[in-house]
Amino acid sequence: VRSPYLVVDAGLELPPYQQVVEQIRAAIERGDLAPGSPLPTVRQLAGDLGIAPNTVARAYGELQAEGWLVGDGRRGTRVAGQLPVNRRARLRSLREAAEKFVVSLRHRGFTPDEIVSELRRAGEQR
Amino acid sequence: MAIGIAALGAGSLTWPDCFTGIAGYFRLAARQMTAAEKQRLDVVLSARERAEGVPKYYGRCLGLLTIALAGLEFVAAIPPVLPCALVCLCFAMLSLLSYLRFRRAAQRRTAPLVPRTPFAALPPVLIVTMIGVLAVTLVLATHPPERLSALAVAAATTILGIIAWRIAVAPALLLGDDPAFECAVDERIRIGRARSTAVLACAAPAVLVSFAVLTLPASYRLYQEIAPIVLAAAFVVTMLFDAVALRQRMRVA
Repeated sequence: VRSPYLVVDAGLELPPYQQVVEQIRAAIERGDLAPGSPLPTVRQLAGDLGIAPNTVARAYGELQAEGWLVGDGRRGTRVAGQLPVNRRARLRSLREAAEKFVVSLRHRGFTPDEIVSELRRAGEQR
Repeated sequence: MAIGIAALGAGSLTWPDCFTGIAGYFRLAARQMTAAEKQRLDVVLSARERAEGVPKYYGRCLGLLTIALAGLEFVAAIPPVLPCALVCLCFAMLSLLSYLRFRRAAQRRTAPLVPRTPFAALPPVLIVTMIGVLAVTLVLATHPPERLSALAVAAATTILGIIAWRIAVAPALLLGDDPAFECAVDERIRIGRARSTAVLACAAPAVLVSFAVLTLPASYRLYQEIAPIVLAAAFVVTMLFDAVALRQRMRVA
């Protein structure tokens, strides 16, 4: 894992907080920031980038709301252990499994309504 | 003492950037580098020096001031320790000034996405050492003939300690052309400047006490025996921390 860097260019049209959000998200997706990695404090990052602390706090807040980062109390902000990209992958695998299951039941002659009502009943029983 | 300070002033006049320049922090590290790394280092240092851009006349002004203070001390118009404290303070102010100039100069800024602690540049041992040096200096203020000098040196040590801390917590100054190397260079400059300032903070009290203990009354016997040793030890400790940092290999992520 190589050390990632953030660049904020005051000459760009994209607002600084959006530049921070995009670059942190990209660093996580690339794997440059591993799950659980600590991030700089709001104050440190704002000082390094020469922007207002509120701008960094807003970017961190947005990334936390999206599930990319987690606030860890006094230990600061970290990359989330369970990333949104993994949640999407889990949903995709569930969808694929459900589609295969439904197709196999359809081959055995069950109608979509019968499958849905039986799945609902099974879900409610559990 | 006056001759030493005058020599320092002459040095600053002849080579105005020898005390404010950053190349000195990399002389030892550069010996362990490959040709390609040295080339990268030269590029990064040149860009940084351009961005910090402390004009050479600052160094020359400092040289003139230092020589003037040495002259004043020579004609015994001021206590010998005051020029020493003032010179230390001026050198540290120049270190801090270069950071402030850089912050205003760079439009596009780059930041490493890793947490940083000021204690890497200024370890707690050095902070405790500076506080100890300050306490030992303030004890001397209880002796009326030395009160003014002791308070002036204590004030200089306090300001130098604050400057060292400000340098340790200062933002990373990366231009983004070669961020990995710039980050390593920035870390080394921060450590070098913070620890050099800590050395300066301990220098003036050591000079003051080494002169003052000779004229103290018998009631200060314990102080006469212990204080010079404590201050010499503090000076050596800060020097060692500074020297060790300069000898360390540069780590480029």
